[in-house]
Amino acid sequence: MLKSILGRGLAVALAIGLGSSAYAQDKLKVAMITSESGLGDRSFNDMMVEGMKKAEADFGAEYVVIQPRAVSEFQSAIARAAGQGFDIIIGSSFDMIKPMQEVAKAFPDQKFGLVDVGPEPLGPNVVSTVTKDWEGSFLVGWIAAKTTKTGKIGFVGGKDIPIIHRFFIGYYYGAKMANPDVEVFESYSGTFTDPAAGKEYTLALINEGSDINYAVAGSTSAGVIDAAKETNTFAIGVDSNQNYMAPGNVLTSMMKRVDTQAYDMIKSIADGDFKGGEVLYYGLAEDGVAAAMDEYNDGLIAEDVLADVDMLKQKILTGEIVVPNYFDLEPGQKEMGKPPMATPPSVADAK
Amino acid sequence: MDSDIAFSAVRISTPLIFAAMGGLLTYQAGMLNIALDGFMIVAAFAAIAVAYVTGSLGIALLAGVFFSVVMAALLALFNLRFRAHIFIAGIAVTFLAYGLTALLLKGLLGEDGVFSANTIPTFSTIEIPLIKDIPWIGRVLSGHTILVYLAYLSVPVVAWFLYRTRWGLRVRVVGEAEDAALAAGVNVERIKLQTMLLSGVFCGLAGAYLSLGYVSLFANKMTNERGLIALAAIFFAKGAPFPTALVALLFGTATALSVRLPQMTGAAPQLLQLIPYVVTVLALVVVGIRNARSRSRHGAWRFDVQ
Repeated sequence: MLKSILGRGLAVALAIGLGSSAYAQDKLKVAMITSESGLGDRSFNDMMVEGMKKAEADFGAEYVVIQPRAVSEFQSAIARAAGQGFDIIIGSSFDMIKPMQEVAKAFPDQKFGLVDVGPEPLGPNVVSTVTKDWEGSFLVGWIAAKTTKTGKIGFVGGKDIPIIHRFFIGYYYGAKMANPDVEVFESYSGTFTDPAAGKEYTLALINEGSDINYAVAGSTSAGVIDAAKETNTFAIGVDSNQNYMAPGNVLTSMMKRVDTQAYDMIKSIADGDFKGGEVLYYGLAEDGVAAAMDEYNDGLIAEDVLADVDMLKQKILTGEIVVPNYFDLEPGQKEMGKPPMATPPSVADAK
Repeated sequence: MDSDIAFSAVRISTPLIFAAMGGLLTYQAGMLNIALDGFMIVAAFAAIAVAYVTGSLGIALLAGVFFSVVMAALLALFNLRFRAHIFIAGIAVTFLAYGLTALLLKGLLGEDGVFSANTIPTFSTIEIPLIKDIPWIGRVLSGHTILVYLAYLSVPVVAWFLYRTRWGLRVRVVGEAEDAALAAGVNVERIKLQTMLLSGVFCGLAGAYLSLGYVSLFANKMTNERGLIALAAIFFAKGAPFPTALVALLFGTATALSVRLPQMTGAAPQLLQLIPYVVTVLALVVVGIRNARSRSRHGAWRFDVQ
């Protein structure tokens, strides 16, 4: 809480400071618009600020954090920023797609960036990114299969829907590539908002022998982590670094590196090659996803497994490994990815 | 049946039974309390916040119950004093509770969506002597936390108060025939207020169990409509305590099966996740048929679809 107040105070102080003082004209000016959860969320917004700080250090970019209080204020917040001569305005979250598109139309000379959204281009002056969460899931699947002691690992999804299958396919592919004999349990709690259900589903998997469970289920995930804590097994977090939620029982988190994505947007301005209208894909090779490592999961993953990360990254970069994306699979497809692997029956049937 | 499934059925049913006992009292007093979820979410939040600050489960439990009762008092104020329709007021209170807890989560604890901390104490499990040594039954009944046992023990207590005390008689008269109760000199308003506040107490326990017993964390809207499921159980059993608890247990068992069966049978999870809801719909169909048959015998007030 203290951190969030400090963060907010800093942002306000920055905003006031920048508003009243004259800029040195050659300095890069960046506005970051927070998504609904705001600063102090220990998630995307805090991570984006890290990207801002790095850009500040590397190219002396000045940044301002603007915190709209609600989704309904996104458009007015972006529009106000657009009138103040920033070099780029960067936001995140699906909720910001429409507001940013509207403002981008009204300010055709202003450059915009939107992090971690869908594959549709958003306008000639907007660059957007898609995080290859399937490659991140591949990585944590690899780590889980290399770490499990029982030879069985699990997956708890929020709902049985395509976007969640994409995480499962990546996880399954990574696990089976690391160890073809590992058993991967797949389960869906049917809700993104019920931690108790998440715990119930996880305990069922643990009862079947799984000792590492990957949670892709919104706040239901918290129940998956709670179950890991209670049974002293491992959970794997998703999207942001969730290792702190149960130190010692969260093996790692499949982290979307929105900081890298925001940093690269600022860098493109500094280098003068802003890719307006383009959609950039961020996977393992682009450092767009990562397995979160910090003091909370120190020593849980063996050194040689961690060393594999660079090897996998290299192979993805050269195209030796292509992690299958659920949305690219054809109905009835028997094999997926490169090197090819049998499609799990649950997915082949669902398609 | 696998003892593990039965064990988790007991656990899953606990918040439903608490909430159902709370909703049942207001049902008996002639009020449709749709705000059970609202009471529960406030209790869940208050309990974990207080447990986090004080480190005491006892105080946390009291805080959960207290704030749940405050919400109940608010609903009573709207309904009994300002004469708002209880259905509308109940929905308003529920939304207020969802919004308020989300706001306080951010404002007080500085978290977004989910709050957990390693310093929050947890209830220890209780091994019941003798019973724990009985095969199967021991593994199902022993090893739960105190709140689980409290939930099941509350059923006979509620039944006793409703059917064996003067107060319970008055509650039932108020529900069956308010005019008759008035004519007999019963303070209808007071009885209604009492049942509403008691409803808050039970929902307080349900909410505290959710955030401190079942899991040890808080998430926005974490009650996930358990209050409405409890209401369905009450409707099905026409507000009788033991049958209501049985229906809640049935629902919990159905949920436990839907969690465990996909792994054991390989059947489609969507199909199995239907089980609890199919059970609910079937239950309401049975109620409907029963009502249609006994319509002529009941002249007095009933919630059930006529």
